[in-house]
Amino acid sequence: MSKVVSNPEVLTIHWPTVIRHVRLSRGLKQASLAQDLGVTQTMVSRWEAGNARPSARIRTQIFDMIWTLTSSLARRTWMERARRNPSSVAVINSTGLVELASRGLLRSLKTVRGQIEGRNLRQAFRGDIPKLFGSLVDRGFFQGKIATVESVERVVFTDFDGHDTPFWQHSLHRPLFVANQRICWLISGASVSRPVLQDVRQRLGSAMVVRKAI
Amino acid sequence: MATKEETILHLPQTHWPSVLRHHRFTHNLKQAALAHDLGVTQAMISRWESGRATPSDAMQARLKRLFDAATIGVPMPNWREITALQPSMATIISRAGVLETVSQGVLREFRMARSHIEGHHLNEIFSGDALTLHLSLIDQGFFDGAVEMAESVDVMSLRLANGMKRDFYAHRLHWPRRDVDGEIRWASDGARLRKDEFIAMRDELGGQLDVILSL
Repeated sequence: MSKVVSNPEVLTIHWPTVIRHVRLSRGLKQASLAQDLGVTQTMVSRWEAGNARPSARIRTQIFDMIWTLTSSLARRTWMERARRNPSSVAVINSTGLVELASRGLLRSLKTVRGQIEGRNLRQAFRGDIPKLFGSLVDRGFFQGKIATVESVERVVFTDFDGHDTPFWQHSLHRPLFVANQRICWLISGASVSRPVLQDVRQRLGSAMVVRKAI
Repeated sequence: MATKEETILHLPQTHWPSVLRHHRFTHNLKQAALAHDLGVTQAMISRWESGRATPSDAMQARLKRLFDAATIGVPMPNWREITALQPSMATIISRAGVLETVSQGVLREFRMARSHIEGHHLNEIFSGDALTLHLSLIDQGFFDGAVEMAESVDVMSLRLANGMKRDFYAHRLHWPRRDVDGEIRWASDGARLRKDEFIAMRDELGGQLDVILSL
């Protein structure tokens, strides 16, 4: 069942895209990024063309650079705060493991932390969430090829006793560039009524709108 | 063959009139130009957009491919753009109390247009807890970097046009975020609470506000 195993390519970070994305997001020329990273412009050009792979030191620096674009906090502090967030937030890794669930999400799921964190979403959810995950994997989300996704979906959470909690959700999905050069899936959302869901869906024009990385 | 989008749905069918118009307007195409791209008549596009006809299955697949190819790359959204997109209730407020950026969730919960909130002062939009919270944060040095984070359980009182107010309960997290101009902004993220949740949270927090000071 796991395309994750059969197709590891969709989980390997695509450095040419990631480097170009961070560079253009900061409005930099190759030479300026090269200067920031202490390499030559030729080297940046080779990375972006896929002719060379950045060293471990550079890979870490690039991840840190992207992190500071999204948050002014250290990653650990950010995680602690995200857990306390009253709105619905989840961090899921590329294997589908739920690494973090916010207080608001626990409230929506009518459950406790131990029922969701550390579980694989394929076991914890039915409905649209597993499909959404598959779709993100296929589109290279965990490779760094996506900037944002906005969607509406049916969430069906199943606890350890097999008890289901269904609701409609409007959500925003972003890549989270965490330590050890891993890209995780950051979902922030709100549960919505059926009429609101229909409104959002009409505006989006489909159930999900994907904005690729530049 | 169903596309990936379709497999996600137990949702209503694609609303082709808005999808087509959205594509045309965002790509600055006339009906005739889109008709040419698809090899149909302009009259057919017009009928699809007015909802008098629905594209055939084959044409729907073709439209989806066309729209997918037309998706252009975008830069990483900055934190303000992300805040504006949030489905939950998120706000960015200045030291002076101006609501600079609000999320989609705020527009929904407040039932107000973006232009009626953004650029306005807190006291034009709220009465009660939201205003006292702003003053408390100022007192605690929030805008001077003295606060790491704050958590509050509030009665949000919205001022309505007719002089009435509408109340709801909210649980919110607040943190300082320094903007590009060097000034600290008040960023909040929150969710609406039911009355029983409100009472329980106030109890847990020991009041309206809990402030964690920076080291």
